[in-house]
Amino acid sequence: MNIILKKLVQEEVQNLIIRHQGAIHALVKEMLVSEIRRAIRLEMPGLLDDRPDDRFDDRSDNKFDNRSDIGADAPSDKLTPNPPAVAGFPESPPKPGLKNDAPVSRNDSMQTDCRYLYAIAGSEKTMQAGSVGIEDAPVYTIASNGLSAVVHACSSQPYQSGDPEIARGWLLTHQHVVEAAFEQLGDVIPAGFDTLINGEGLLDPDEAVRTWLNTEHDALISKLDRIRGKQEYGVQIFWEPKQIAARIATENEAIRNLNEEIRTKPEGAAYLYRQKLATMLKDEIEQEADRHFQSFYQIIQPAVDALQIEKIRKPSEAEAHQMIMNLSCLLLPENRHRLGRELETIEGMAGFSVNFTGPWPPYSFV
Amino acid sequence: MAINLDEDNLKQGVLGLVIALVQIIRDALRIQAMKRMEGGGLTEDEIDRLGRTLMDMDEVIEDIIREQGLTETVRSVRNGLDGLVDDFLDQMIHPGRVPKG
Repeated sequence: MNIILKKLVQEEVQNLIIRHQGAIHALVKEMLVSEIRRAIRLEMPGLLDDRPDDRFDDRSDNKFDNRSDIGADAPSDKLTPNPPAVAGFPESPPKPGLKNDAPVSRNDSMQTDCRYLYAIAGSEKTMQAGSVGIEDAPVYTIASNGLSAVVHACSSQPYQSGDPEIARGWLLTHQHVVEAAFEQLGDVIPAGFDTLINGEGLLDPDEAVRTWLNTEHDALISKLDRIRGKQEYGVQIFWEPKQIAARIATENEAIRNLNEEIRTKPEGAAYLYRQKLATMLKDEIEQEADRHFQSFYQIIQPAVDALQIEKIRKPSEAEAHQMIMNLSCLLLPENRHRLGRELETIEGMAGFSVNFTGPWPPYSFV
Repeated sequence: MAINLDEDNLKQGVLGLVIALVQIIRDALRIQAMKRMEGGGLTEDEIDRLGRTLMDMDEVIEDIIREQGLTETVRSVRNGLDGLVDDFLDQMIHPGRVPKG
């Protein structure tokens, strides 16, 4: 490496910075605009929804490329969602104070004066579950006044572990119990992980749950009314930026012209024009993503009973398919076909694909 | 962003940091050059010279990275900085979510 050259470059860079401080400042700001625009789109869910961020994002990975199991249903219903059996679980809701390095062993505690809540059902039906709860706890239902709570008996110590694998296992179990409740009991309000009802000092801690069900009766009923008979589906829309970029490059006149022009330029100028081309293309892709987001929203929204925009995992450049939209949809089973048809239209667009999952308990709508 | 300093990686770490910063400055310069070009204040000849200078700069940076085996270090510094910017934007967008204290 030529030391003099290195030094020259360094000095040159320094001089440039000093001379153009103002301009660099303005430029950095300008460079951020498209990033900010994207950030806003990605962050929109956060703005539209102020609930704590413990929902189940990205909860299934089954791409529905696999159409082999389709056709048992109505033939027109090609977009049958995958069964939620292989649910990738959300990254755990971060629990405050996860300091303990060792997993808390809870079995040595014989106190069971709390109840761990999985879900609330809108009926007094009993659930046949067995020891399927967290750490194999027996799961049962406590009914009162037309509602029932799906619980297991536990101590007042919250479920916390410094080991993410253990925490993940707990969360998965929690989700499985909620799903079982959803299948067996119908309309359920899923509870968040680690929701404990304290029955300390009571002869029968179940009584605390009944009291709670009675106190919260009206609020719970109104929540149940909103979701009654409805199921949640996840809709993720992906596109292939490469394919979109290729299309823009041929369709956009300015970009096409610039591309032609570069061929005639000397090396140094061509370098700069190529940079310009890349910037133009990136802006166009961003705008295209915005446009599609809007138009898909317009298509999907009338087809569902309720709709919620979820966060998008930050796409990495390397991925061929990038998610541009992540929705939770609440709908009556009879409306599923309509949504399926709309999604099929999107799926049929070149460069786009749709991931349709569910039915899920209405996690996102309670 | 924590920087691990020990005998072995001190040189690598500092060099990586410097190169990452130079890259960022290079990116800013490139944009500035494009602005000038689009502003129409440059002749074709000047555009070509400017482009060549930036190309040379790319080459020098790439050489240093290759010779010193800095690919990973530079990437991690840049990812760290990206994360920093992400966090910053996130805080601007959701002022209510900034942890207290």
